[in-house]
Amino acid sequence: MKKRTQKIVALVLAVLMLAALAACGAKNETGKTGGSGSAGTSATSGTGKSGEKVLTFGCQMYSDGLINPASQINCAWNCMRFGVGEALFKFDDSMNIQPWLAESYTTDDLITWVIKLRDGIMFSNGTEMTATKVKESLDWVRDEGPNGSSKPGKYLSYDATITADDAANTITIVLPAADINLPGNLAYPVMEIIDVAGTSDFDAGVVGTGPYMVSTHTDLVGYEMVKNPYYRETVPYDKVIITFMGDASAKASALQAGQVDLVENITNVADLKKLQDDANYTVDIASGVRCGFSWMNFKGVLGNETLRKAILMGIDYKTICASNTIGGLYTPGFSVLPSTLAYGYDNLNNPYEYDIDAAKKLLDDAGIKDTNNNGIRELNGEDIYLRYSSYENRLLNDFSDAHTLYLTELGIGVKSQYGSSDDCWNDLISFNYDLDNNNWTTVGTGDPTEYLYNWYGPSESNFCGYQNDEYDKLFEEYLASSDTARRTEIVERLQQILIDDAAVLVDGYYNSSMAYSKNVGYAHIHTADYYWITTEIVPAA
Amino acid sequence: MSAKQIGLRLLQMLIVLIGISILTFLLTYLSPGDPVRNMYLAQGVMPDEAEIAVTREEMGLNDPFLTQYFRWLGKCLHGDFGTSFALKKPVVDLLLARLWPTLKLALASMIIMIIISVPLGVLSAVYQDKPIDYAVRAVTFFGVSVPNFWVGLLLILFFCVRMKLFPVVSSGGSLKDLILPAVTLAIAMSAKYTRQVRTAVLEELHSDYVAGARARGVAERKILWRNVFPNSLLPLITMLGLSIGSLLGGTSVVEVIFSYPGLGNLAVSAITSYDYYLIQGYVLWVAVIYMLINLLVDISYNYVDPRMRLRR
Amino acid sequence: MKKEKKKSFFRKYPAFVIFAVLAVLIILAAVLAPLLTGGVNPTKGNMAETITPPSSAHPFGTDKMGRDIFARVIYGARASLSSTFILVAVIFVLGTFLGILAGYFGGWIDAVIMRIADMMMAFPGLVLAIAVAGILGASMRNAIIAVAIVSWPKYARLARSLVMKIRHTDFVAAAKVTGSRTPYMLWKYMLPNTVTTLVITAATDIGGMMMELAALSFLGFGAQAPTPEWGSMLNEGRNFMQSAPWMMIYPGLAIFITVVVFNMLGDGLRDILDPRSNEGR
Repeated sequence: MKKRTQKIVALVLAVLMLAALAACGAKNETGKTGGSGSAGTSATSGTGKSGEKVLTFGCQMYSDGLINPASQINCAWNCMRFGVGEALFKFDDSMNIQPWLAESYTTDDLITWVIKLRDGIMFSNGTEMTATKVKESLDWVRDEGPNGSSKPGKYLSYDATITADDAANTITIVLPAADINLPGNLAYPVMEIIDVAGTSDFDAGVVGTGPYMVSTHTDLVGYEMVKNPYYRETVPYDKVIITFMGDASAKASALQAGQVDLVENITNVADLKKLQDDANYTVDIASGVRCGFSWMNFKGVLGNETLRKAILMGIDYKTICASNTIGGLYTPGFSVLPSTLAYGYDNLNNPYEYDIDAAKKLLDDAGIKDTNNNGIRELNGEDIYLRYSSYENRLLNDFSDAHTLYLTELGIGVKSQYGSSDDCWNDLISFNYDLDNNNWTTVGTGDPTEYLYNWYGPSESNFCGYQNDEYDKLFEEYLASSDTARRTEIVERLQQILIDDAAVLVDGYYNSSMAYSKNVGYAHIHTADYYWITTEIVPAA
Repeated sequence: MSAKQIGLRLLQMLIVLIGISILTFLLTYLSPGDPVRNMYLAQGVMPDEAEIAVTREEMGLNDPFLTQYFRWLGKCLHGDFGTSFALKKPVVDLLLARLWPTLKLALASMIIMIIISVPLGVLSAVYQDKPIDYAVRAVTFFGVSVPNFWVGLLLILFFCVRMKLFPVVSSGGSLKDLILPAVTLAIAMSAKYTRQVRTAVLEELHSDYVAGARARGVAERKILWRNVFPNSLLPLITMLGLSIGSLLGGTSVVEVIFSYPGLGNLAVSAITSYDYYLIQGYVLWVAVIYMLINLLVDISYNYVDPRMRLRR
Repeated sequence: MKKEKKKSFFRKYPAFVIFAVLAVLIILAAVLAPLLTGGVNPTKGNMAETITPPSSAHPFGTDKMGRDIFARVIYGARASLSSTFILVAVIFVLGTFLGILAGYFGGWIDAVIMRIADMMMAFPGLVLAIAVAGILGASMRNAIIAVAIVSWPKYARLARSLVMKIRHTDFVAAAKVTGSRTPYMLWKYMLPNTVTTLVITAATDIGGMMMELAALSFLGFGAQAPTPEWGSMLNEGRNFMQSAPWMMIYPGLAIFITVVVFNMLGDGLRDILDPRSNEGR
């Protein structure tokens, strides 16, 4: 008897296993794309126990998800994106300055600024945000500056002095030189206001004024956030659970499986289309103010002008952007500033349009040939191998791979150094690269100043060693000018200088997106994607 | 096991442990990267050559191999396995946090494996060359030949996305997070183990004493339950012990696919960041755990098989 | 006469013959890759034709760099097969050699070799492979080294126990007494005794080793892009599971079929060389 039951049990198990395997195989073969009819059934989203409102959010992990504004730019962004940190000002979707923690500002000479802070703002630990606290925060981030790579000096000079007036609730900033865009700089995530004295864990437990605060942090996995009880408005959710998702496909899968209700930036074209076509999900897209581009290390072999020009001519950026792999997530372009911005893109001229034969000829004429027949050209007797740093985000690795294809065709070797976003950043700041692919926002402070600093000779954020006298002169004029028309003119000219010098390898202009399920009533991806978790995101009615 | 035997075993273990530690330390000592530079970079600082040289001296990286090794060993014995560059936390904390989920996964997989393999293997052996034997052998054959990461991906597609039964990305060690990874791991291991169970039982069935018992007219069922099964236990436990190694290693791939927060996942991300101390700690810990488990298996061995007790 | 013999061999071991033929076919496919793929370059991409489903121009479709997947699967056989064979050969030679030494000489040689073997076995294979790859860098060569380091002990132990079984037999003692020198003893007596079992073990291990290497490549620690290799192709196809399943199906099938063929081959070989075994026949 016992034997028979054993037999039956085993038989059933075997049959089940076979059936499962067969079913999986069959479904896969036909490649059907149905199955998203029912709404999400995950136990963690929607309402938790006792009617608790929980938002489950899936996002990319930058810099291991840490939120210290001073240690690394990505951490500063994380802090603001996760709804913890807020700055004095913020950007609306047209990249205009709006008040946030500050109410207003006055300045006569662009050197002395008096900023009136909002009243009644509290940090999430109950401390009041006074003018002194704001000064402490701004001083702290600059003190910490040299120990990290956020480079706060770009946004508020190390030589700027801040005076706090608690009674009037204002701070007065005196800059060492006139800067028309101080509010824009102060809106940048690195300048968010945190409670320095009240924070004990700067890496994952920063105390800010935002609608949500950190409750628990699990390394490499995510955060559990709870609402800030002292927030000045009603906070729509009681809890926000942030889960890091490694790749684009995981985000889409998790959204469809109902494990999360909101995801940012789905960068898998087919997944994005599928979600757009599905009535159960909403996809929100913001047009590009982001540029995907590869820095070129002028201190390495790419200091050779002919080589750079040939490389640009050897890469078919239009076909890449039009391919199924990139599929419209990027708009093709050849300037470092997106074509959608009002900086005269249409007036620019690209002397290095794709022409593989001309590129080869250029190299041949310059004597950069493959003399030992190993398929790689030599420069000064050595095979040319470009170290290409890149990371898996917003299709950057795909661009890098595509570039490698074209470079191989051109006879230039590539050594891929793909890693995490941190690794890529570290390669950049230590000049351990020849090409370093990134996706940056171009008008981070409302105008392209911060971004264009990248190619300004003496800049501390010039991570490529590029130096052009005309660029430097014009940039300095730009910094000092308050004539908007002249500034726009200068920016147009700066772009052309970079193009002519073949200084940058542009991937294209990226379009950000957010997708959410029916459990979320409304969510929106802003033009400036510093703001992910905001009070605009509300549960479905 | 007598005290002497245990003592001998422990001594052997110690030697092997020392060997493991040397090997692990060698790994990072031999690495082509520069730990000092990496450490600075991970903090977002761009050091110059002079700084690097000074730090290297301070960290004692210019000392001879043996000095460095003993220093490192000393620290390890005090529980200090260094600090992770990327995650800015002590390696010990990171490993501890991830240890239990991985052990849970391994345990769950093993339980599933035993539940599937033992009955199937026994049946297959008892009914040798009958249809059920062929069925089991066919299934296990496929199970052994299919790459477990492929199966894992198919399972995700089917159970997570299509049927929405399980989360796609694991957020903690809850039961739901555990099932699919455990099943994925268990499939390949069950296939292998089932065959081994079958072989072990078959060997018993074909042995002389069974033939003798049959000749004497003892009921088949009695033979099975009183003799064959108990005698098969020994090789079964041995093989179980051997498969633990594959289990501990196999969790890495499965954890990556399912984004399961275990040791394997941690190790894989540590490697892309050249996080030496973390890698070192991981290798050392897994090796030690594996050794301990083997020791347990050996000890249980001795209780199951009286012959071992009498020998020596 | 010959024909009759062949017929009876086939009749006796149909499984072995069939799978031997299949294995040879697979190897031939790898060797003759350029012929089979009609000269298509597996590493050359075309950004105008990315992620296209199977068609007459591309029987298995294209991947995200526009490379022909059919060509990559066929060429992938080269990477997978060659690395697996090298790996198994290394393990076989190393393990057998050390095992015979340990078994024959005994004493401290035995102790040292066995302790080293224990140490290696203390590391679950994939774990050490990951560490080696992480520290020495990711490449097929390092992957082979890593897996070899942890796998030779099995063969050494087996060889050692086989040698120890006959070490004290009469004919060995006789040979020694008549003045046979050690290398001769090892070569003529110990080795042949172990070869059969070890060859069987190696043959049955081919499939498993192939999967280990594929797993490493899948994690990114083995073959590097753009070299076609089945494990890394599976990794590339991961993101396109739903939208472009062909990127994952065909490499997976390739691994599966190859492993099945070699596993069956190993089983068949065991049936021929060691008919005492209870598996199968």
